[in-house]
Amino acid sequence: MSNIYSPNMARVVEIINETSDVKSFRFEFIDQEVYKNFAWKAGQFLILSVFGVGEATFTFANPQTRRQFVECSIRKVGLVTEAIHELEVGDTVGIRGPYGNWFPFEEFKAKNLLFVAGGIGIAALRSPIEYSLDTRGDYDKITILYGARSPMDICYKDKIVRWQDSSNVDVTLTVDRGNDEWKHRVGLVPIILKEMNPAAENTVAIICGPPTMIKFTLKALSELGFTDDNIVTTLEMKMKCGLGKCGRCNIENLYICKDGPVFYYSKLKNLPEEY
Amino acid sequence: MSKTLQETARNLLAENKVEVIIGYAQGYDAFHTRPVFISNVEDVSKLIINEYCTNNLSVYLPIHKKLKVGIVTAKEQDLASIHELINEHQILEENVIIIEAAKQISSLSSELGEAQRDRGIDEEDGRQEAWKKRGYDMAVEEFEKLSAKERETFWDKEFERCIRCYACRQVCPVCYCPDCFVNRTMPKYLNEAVDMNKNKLFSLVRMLHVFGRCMDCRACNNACPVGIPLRLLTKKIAKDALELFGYVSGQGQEHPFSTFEKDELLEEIR
Amino acid sequence: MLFVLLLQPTTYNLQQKFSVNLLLLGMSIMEYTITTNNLRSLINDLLKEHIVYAPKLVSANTVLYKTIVSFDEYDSTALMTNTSAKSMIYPQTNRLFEFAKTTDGMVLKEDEEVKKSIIFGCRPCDAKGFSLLDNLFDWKGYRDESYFSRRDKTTIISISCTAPQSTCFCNSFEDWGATSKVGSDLLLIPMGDKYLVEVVTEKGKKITEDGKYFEPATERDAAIKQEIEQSVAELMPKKLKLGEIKENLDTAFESPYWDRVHLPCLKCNLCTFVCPTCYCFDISECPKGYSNGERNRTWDSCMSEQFTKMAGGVNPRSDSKRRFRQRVMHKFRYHVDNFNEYLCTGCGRCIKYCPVGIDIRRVLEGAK
Repeated sequence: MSNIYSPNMARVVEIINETSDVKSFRFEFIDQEVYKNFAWKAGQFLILSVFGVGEATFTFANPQTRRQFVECSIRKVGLVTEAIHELEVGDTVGIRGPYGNWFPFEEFKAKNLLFVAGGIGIAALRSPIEYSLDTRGDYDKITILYGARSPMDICYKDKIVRWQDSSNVDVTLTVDRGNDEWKHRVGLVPIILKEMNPAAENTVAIICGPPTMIKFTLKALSELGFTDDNIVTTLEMKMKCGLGKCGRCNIENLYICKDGPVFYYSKLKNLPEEY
Repeated sequence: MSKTLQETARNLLAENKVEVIIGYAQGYDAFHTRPVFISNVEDVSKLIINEYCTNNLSVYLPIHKKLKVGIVTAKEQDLASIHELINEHQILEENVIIIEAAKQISSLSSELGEAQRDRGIDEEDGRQEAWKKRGYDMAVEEFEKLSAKERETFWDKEFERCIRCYACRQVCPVCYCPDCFVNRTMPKYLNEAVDMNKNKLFSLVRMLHVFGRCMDCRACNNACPVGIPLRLLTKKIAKDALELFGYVSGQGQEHPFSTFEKDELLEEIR
Repeated sequence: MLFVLLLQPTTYNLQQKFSVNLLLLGMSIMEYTITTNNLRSLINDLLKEHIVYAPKLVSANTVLYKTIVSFDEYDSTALMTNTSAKSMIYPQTNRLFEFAKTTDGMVLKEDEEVKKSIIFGCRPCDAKGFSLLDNLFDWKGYRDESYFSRRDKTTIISISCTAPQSTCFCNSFEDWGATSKVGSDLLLIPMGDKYLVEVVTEKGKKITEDGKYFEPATERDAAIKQEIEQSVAELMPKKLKLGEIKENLDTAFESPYWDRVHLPCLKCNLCTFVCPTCYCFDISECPKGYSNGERNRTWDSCMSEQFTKMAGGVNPRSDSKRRFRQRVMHKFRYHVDNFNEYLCTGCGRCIKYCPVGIDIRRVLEGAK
């Protein structure tokens, strides 16, 4: 394809219902050659087309170490995601990418990793979590805190069980409002985070979630002694091209789709709050 | 005239009767004015009123509905738009103080508004003839004589050059919907591709939406960067409102579309 | 012969990307003259193998670039077209590909080769717009063929202006003026019944190669050209101090200035659509029937609410102030940081056509 906007054809091979409005889709490229050259890193994103409806941007849910297929977890929020939710196994979609930067794991070596995810933010953190589990020897302690609105809204239930079984990984789950069967924590992510009281020393916090959660989590992390250059987050912004051209993800001289979406908070906090 | 206006504005601000005055100031040259927002007494000297005051400032009222606003009107249609916005419950009557320059200036501005539209017509006199031939000056009666096919051809040619910048919609006092049908995605009524049919669909649907509410203030016509004669449409809908329903917009009559009764069902509709 | 170096170093490299700039090769600018009658013959000749776009009167006071079928359709009287020449190479609706569901699955079909075309009667400010777009569309490792396929096949024959309007401010840009050549392949400077022709690029040279319509320029022509440049410069409205403005903008993001200056702006897309440099776009679907359709790239505008609004409803630039500030900042600060050039050519269309008379010059001068 000569055109940078032309997607490659892929097929839906598996659909997993995560929650009432989130599904995970596994795709396989129709042309195996395309797949061979399609190398992504945890943190990058792709642009998915439903022909006749349009394109939308999603992060890779699986890391480069688990590349049997391309997986995205998608919440139904608008026109394109609604069409994606109606897809069935065998349907054709278009995929272009990978785009954007990735989590700087080379800088995380020998450090403790603290993942904090809120809501659908877990979809963006699953690939770095699984990547770190797959390269476990490179890091010290791994802690995961994941909060959702209710037990019904927890994604990746099976995977979380496997994460918990991994050695030296501490997983904490919390919901805003629990029910009788809920055996984990109840409370907002920033509050639980403070209760957990993770050591800030030699630790990188990797966070993703809705704006309000991010705001208070940053505050909590700062109180726990985390410095801004030890906090990494990934931004969600409206993007169309993924190529640093269409202009909508422009903040100062940055194009989030090219210069992001992964940022150290030390860099992010100097940008105007237009994300 | 500007001096009296400035004095009025100064008093309104000084006595705290309004928080802001929306008026006209000198534009980029002597033939152009621009809307200006004045909230400091020191700035009232910026206010002017002359025959180049062609914007309909009432478009700003719904945006600033929470403020006490003093608004300058330069023509009768501007005044009518304000009444229409009050009738449509978009603004509160008690929040608006009208500084009416309309009476003094209306006769001037209705003619000169068209000169303003050409933006520098003095430099380009030669085009006047072509202007008339193109149908901009086509009276509604003349337009009505055209067959349906001829009308279609006429508008196809005009809307072919529309760039869908939506300036016509944004400057329209009664196009205040926060969620215009062209921007909706679920369902999607109009996609982003710009072609004659979609352009026409947008403009004609807009005309239906403003039927009986349009004051024929020419704001849309003046705003169009590619000179589409929208005025012909606004005149036509005003004429239809009068002939079909005996309705004149902005006069406080009940809107014909909100007073429908079953016996009114016309033969033609069945 | 004149040896004038009017271009800034940064612009050189950019120009070089798509066509060899003769200035760079150390050659002098080749200059010819062409009579008005010969120009007519030249354009009519070129029409045989090219699509020719030129300013054309389409309605009273509306002059737009349109495909012409003969030189006589060209409107030489208008200073400026209502919309810029941008759309001749970067169309408002640009089909990226068609898709169709077949028995072999979904098949994409990209557009066939574009035809050779000429933009005739382009003003230098519009031509410069293309040089700015060139940089953007070949940036960050992605070269946009849907743009360059047209760009490479288009020859731009500009005609310099002699009578600037009150909205013009092209002279505010460094080394820039009514007879500047950036983005043009050939530049024609009107001199009564003839034009002085400056060859800027290889593409331009091709047009003059035939030779039958051109005559070498004389010393006298060069002197007249200087006079013209001088007289146009005198007619130009005042210059903006762009260096100072950029410095002010660097620290003005949080300034209360933006709280008021945006107030008249009604957030239509007009200024960005008539602009020769605004490039932001959307990618949208145009379904045709159940299983066919096309995907388009369509102009979009930072002025529109939908521009940054996410599907879930969150919008980082939801209010009028933020969007107004973004346009100004992007053109005169952010873009300068990335490309070392302003995203503006001073054509003044955004001032001339703004329905509420917002003057970008005034906005910039007040920013602190």
